[in-house]
Amino acid sequence: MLSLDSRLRVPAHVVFSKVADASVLLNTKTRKYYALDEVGVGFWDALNSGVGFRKAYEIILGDYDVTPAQLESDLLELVQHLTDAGLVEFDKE
Amino acid sequence: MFEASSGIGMVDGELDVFQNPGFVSSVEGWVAGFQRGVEVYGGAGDYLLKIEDCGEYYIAHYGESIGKWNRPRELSRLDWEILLGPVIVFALALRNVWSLHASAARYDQKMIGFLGESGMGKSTLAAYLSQNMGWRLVADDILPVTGHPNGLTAHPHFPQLKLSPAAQPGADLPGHLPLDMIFELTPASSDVFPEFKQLPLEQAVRVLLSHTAGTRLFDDTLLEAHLAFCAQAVKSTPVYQLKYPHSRDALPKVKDMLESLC
Repeated sequence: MLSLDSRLRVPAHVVFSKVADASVLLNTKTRKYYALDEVGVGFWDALNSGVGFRKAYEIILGDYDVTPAQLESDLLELVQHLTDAGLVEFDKE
Repeated sequence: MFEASSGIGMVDGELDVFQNPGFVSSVEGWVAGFQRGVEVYGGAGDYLLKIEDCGEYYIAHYGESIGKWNRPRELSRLDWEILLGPVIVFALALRNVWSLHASAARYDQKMIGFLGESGMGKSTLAAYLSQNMGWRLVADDILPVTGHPNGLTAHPHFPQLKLSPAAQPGADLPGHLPLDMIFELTPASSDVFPEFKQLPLEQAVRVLLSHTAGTRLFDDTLLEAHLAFCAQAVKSTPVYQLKYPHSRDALPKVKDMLESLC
């Protein structure tokens, strides 16, 4: 079950490019493009730096005026979308 | 760089793609007047495009030369159409030249590209503009561009296949010209006055991504390079959405609007 303690990783077939405050993600397997907004980019950067889901959550919580419960709910929803799109995978190691 | 005679049909030695062919992609697409299956194979900078009912075409040494494999003594009209269509578009992409599905026109030293799917009116608009004083047609359907930190450079000599050799619009223009702005054409109902708005960067990237020719043939490396190009391009070149009714009455208003921007 997806939680803040889930171990996530960005697979090699995902490419991303920053454009101002947003970013565009490409899944080269499906050849589909996706956009992330500013908060999504912050989460993506944190995740890419290898800090883990919970730490990424804590970083964003410190940066934005949002309640912990609301942020957790939003991030879980975001990660669900990202995994559905093949942009993030669960790290089973 | 875009002369049809240079680099076509010439290849020295064996191409690695034929020794170690690696499957890249397989798509159905509109090629030379029909829906055809296209299979792409690649290896060490060489590519082979197998096009249904047409033959096999190679791209050698990262796009330095293109041709028909096991070429006949003379290329047929169909071969030329394919070589100057998907094959050269793919070869240019390997050299970081991206072929926008666009018409283009120039006014007061400013070049404007018009992006849109077939039927969105990009040829009609560019042709209309070029009939007016001060305007000059640059491209009818495909506009190859390269990116650099300060903007985009267009290559007007690219052959426009829908136009006759005598009507090639870019033939007597310089080989490289700046592309100053880009408009995505969007239809509107007949009661709408033409209007435009500059797109946010993320939307502008999406416009460039979706209006580049040949991307369905790209391998992962090219897809990544293409995304990087689009993200860089929108930082220096404004992308607008232009909404107008597709009627002759609207074109003069669009022209005035564009002239005010140049």
